[in-house]
Amino acid sequence: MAKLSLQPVHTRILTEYDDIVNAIAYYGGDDIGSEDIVCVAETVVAITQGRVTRPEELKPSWQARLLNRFVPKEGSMASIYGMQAAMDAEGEWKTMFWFVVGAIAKLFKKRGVFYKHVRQASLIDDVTGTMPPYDKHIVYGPANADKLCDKIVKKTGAYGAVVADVNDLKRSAVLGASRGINPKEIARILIDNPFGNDSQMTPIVIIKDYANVRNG
Amino acid sequence: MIILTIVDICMTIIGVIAIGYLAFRIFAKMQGDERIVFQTKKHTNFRLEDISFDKVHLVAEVPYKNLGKQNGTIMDCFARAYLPREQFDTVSVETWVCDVKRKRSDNYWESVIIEANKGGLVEVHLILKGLNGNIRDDAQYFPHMSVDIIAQIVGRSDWHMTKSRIVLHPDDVSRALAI
Repeated sequence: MAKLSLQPVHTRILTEYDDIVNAIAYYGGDDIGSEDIVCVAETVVAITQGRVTRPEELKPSWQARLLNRFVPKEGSMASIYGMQAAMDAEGEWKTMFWFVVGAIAKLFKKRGVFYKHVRQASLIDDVTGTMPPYDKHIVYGPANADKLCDKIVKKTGAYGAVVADVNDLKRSAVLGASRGINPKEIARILIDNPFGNDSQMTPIVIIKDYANVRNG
Repeated sequence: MIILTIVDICMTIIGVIAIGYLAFRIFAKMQGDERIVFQTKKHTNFRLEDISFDKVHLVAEVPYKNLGKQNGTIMDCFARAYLPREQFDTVSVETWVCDVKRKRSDNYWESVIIEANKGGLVEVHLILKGLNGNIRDDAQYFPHMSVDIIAQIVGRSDWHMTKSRIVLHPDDVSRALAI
């Protein structure tokens, strides 16, 4: 495939009082064409869906207090609030079950079992994980990402849309995509993190002329 | 016989849970938690940052350190100045705190993770405003004023608030205002 052009779109800080589809249409505007793919950062999608909470609003269970002690100190699940947020989203006993299974699997050198089955544990951003004013919040992963992408396509007339989780450590995943879009291919295109860091406030990236380049 | 067996099983289960709980408590104790402290005894004197006819801006630096074994997060941090009108009624005080590595003047504290055995510096900003319009006149005979640095901290366990006190001395004000 020929080299694709990636165009970051600057926005103001979007909050739970914004509608992400309208925001994409507003800020993307005429830059979004019928051959383009609209990519939107998963954290911003989650925030606009109101999928945020604060430690002050959570009541850590004994399961969260127990499990967080066995997570390396750098991770979001190392805090009782991050762990409790994952448990609230996925269920306390389910989280505990997969945590134990994951620990056993690690003994057999199989990593990532816990995060594979308790998806929110890998998607949650703990306090400090997001830019102000959400640096004091815990941000969950987005909900109904595929449906949202279909809505974005309908509203903007783009060729496709994806919700992506990308960082500077060359980790790229597509959490939701509109019909007909190959998530793995888009994840590879986004691997260099065209969203930049939070302070650049470019949560939308347009893959220009994708359909033409792909078919041409 | 059956009853004794059931009692045995129950006692075994209770024993295993008790030993497990005890082992976890010992593990958690050894693992530790954050212990972020503001080292107020090491704070600098307040120095002049800016001055105008009706107000003076003073800044002091206060070191902080995570003395614990685990990472800790300062989620929020702000300063509170204690200058009741009964004590001194010709100056109003505005305060804020910022990390020297993330300087900002919007009175917003950006959450920051402090690794174990690491630390940093916060700046405590005070703006004294003369209520009659001339700070040099209004701040004459300024008293000792306590300033608390209030922080919301979280680590492995529940979030909690801390209060650490520094004092603005009359000499610092006089020096800044050259009175």
